[in-house]
Amino acid sequence: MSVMTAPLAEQTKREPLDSFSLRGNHAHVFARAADVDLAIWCAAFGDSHKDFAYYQLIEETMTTGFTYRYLLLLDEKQNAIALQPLIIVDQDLAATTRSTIARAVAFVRKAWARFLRTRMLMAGCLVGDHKPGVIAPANPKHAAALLAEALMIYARRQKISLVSLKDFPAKMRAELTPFVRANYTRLASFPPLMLDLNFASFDEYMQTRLSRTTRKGLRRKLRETAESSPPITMEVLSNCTEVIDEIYPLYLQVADRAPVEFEIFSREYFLEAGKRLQDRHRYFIWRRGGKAIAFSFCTIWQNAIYDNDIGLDYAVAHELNLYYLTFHDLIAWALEHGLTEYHCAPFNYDPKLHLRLVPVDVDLYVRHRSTIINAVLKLVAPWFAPANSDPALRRHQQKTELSPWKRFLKIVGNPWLQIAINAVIVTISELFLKVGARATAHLSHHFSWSGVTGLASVWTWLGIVCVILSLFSWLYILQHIPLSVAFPLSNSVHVLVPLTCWIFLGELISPRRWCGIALVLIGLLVVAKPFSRIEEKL
Amino acid sequence: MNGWKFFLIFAALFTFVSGQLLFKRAMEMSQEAGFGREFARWFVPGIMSMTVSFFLTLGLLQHLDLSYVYPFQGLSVIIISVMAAFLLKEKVSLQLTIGALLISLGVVLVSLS
Repeated sequence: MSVMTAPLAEQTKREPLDSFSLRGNHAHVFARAADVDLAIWCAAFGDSHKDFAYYQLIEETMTTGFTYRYLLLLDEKQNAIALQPLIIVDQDLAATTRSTIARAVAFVRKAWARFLRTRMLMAGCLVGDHKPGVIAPANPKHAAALLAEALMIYARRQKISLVSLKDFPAKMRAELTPFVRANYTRLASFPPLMLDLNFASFDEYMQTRLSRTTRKGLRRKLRETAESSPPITMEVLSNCTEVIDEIYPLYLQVADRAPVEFEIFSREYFLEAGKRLQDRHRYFIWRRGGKAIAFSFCTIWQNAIYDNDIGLDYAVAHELNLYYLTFHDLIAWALEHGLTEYHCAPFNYDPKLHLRLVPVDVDLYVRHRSTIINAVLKLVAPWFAPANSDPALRRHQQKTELSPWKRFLKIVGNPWLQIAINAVIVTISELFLKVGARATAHLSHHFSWSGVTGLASVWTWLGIVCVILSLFSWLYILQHIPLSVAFPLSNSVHVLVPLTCWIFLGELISPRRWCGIALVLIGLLVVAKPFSRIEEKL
Repeated sequence: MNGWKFFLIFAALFTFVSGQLLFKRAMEMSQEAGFGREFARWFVPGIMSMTVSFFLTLGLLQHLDLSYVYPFQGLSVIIISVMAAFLLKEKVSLQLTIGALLISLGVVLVSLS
C-alpha cells in the first residue's frame, strides 16, 4: 500500500477521469485528491481541519472497501464553484437500524443476499461530518442545486443507483434545500457531540453542568481511579510511530465492541495522521506500570479539540473507569491549553449525554435514481433514520422535544402568522372602540368633543387593551420581517374593518368600497407571493 | 385655513411614517444588542412620534370627514416602502412596489366611500 504523498512529477497529471456538462456548467471527476489544484482545495476547505491533506490521508490509508472521487464544478467561464469529495461504497442499508429490524433484515438475506445492500455514491467525508466545499464567491444554494444534479448524472454514468450526502450539519439546511427540492430525502444521522469549555476547571464543570447523581458518581469514579495503584500516568505525543503497536490493539478492542458497524481505521491511518499532520494531531496515552491501557486520538484545530477515536484495554477499563478518566484528562488538558470547545465522535450516547455533551445534529440526504424506488424510499427511509436507532439518543430527543405549550409558542412565534393575528387584533380593537363610542354617544359632557366620554364604556377599555396588544405583536413582527413587506401586509386591516362591520354591525358596503377591498386583496397577494417561497425552507 | 388642514394631515402622516421607521430600527437594534440603551434610543422617539400621530389623527377625525382623512393613510403604504428602501436599506422589488401601489389605491377607495 502506498502511503507516501505522490511525487511531484505525478502531481502534474491532472486529467479528470470523467467530465460532463450540466446547464452550461462543467463537472470534472478526479481520482485523487492531488489531481485537484491545491488553490481550489484551499478555497473550498481551507477553513476546516478536513482539508486537502486530510482527504489525501484518508484516500491513501483507508483503501479497503472504498473508492474515492473528487467532483469539481466549474461555471461557464471555468471558474470553480464547488469541490465535493465522493466515496463509492458497497453500503449495508440496515447497518444502523434497531435490533428488531436488523434481525428481520438478516432473515430476508438468507434468501436474498443483496437485500438492502447496494452500491452507493456518497458525498462527504468518510470520517464524521463535513460540508460541501463551496468556493467563494459562488452562491451556496446555487452550488448545492448544481451538486444535487451533478451527483445524479455521475451516478447514472457509473451505474450506481443510490446517491447520498453523509452527515452534513443540520444548521446548513437552508443552504441545502436544493437537495430536498431535487427529491432527496433528509434523515437525521448520528450526531457528534460537543461541550462549550466556558468554565475554569473540571470541578467547576462538574459543579455547574452535571446533575447531582451524575456528579456524585463521576467524583467517586475519578477518586477510585486516582487512588488505584500503581498510579496511571498520561503522555501526549504528536507522532505515534513508536507506540502504534501498543495503541492500535486498544483501538481495535473498542471498535470491535461497537454496537453499530462502522469504518474501522487502518493502522496506517493513525501512523500517517501524526507523521503528515503533526501540528494538528495528538495521541494521548494512559499508562499503568508502563503498560498502555487507554489511548485517544485527537485533532486540535483553532480553539477546539476533537476527541476522534478512543482505545481501551477492556481487561481493566471498567474497574478503572478508563472512559471517564480519559474524558477528565482531555478536558483538563484542553482547559490548560486555552481551548474553548470539546467535540467528540458519535456513538455511546448514554454516558456522553449524562456528561451533558450536546448532540450537534447532522443530516443524511438520500436519493435513488429510480423514481418509483425513490418514492418508496421517501416513505420508508424515516424508519431507518440512523439517529432513531440509538435508544439513549431517542430518549434524549424525546426529553428535549417541545412540550405542547412550547410547540404552541413556536407556532404563534411565526412572524407571518403574527401579521394575520395582528390584523385581527387591530380589527377587534377598532370594533370595540366603535361599539364603545356608540354606547356612550348619548352622554353629554364638557369634553365630549375630545372623546373622553367613550371611557365610560367597558368596550372602549377593551379596545385600548387590544391596541396595546397589537403594538407588542407589531414590534415582534418588525423584529423578523422587513418593514417594506410587513407594512403593506398589515394593511389587510383596511379590508377586515369594513368586512367585520358588514358582518357584525350590519353596515353597508358600497360598490366602490368593494372595489377597494378587491384591490387591497390583490395587492396583498402580489406582496406576499415571493415571500411564501422563502417560507418553504422551514 | 385649508393650508393649515393640509399641514396637520401631513404632520400626522410624517409622524406615523417616522414612528414606524424608528420602531423597525429599534427592533433591529434589539436583535443585535438586546433591549438595552441602543434599543431605547430608537424606541422612545418612535413611541413619541406614534403618540403625536395618534392624537393628530384623532383631532383631524373630529374636525374633518373620515373620507377626507383616510385616503392619506393609504399613502403611508407607498411612503413607508420607499423610506424603508432608502433609510433602512431594505430590498424593494418591482413586485413589492406594484403590490404596495395596489394596496394604497385600495385603501383610498375603501376610505373614500
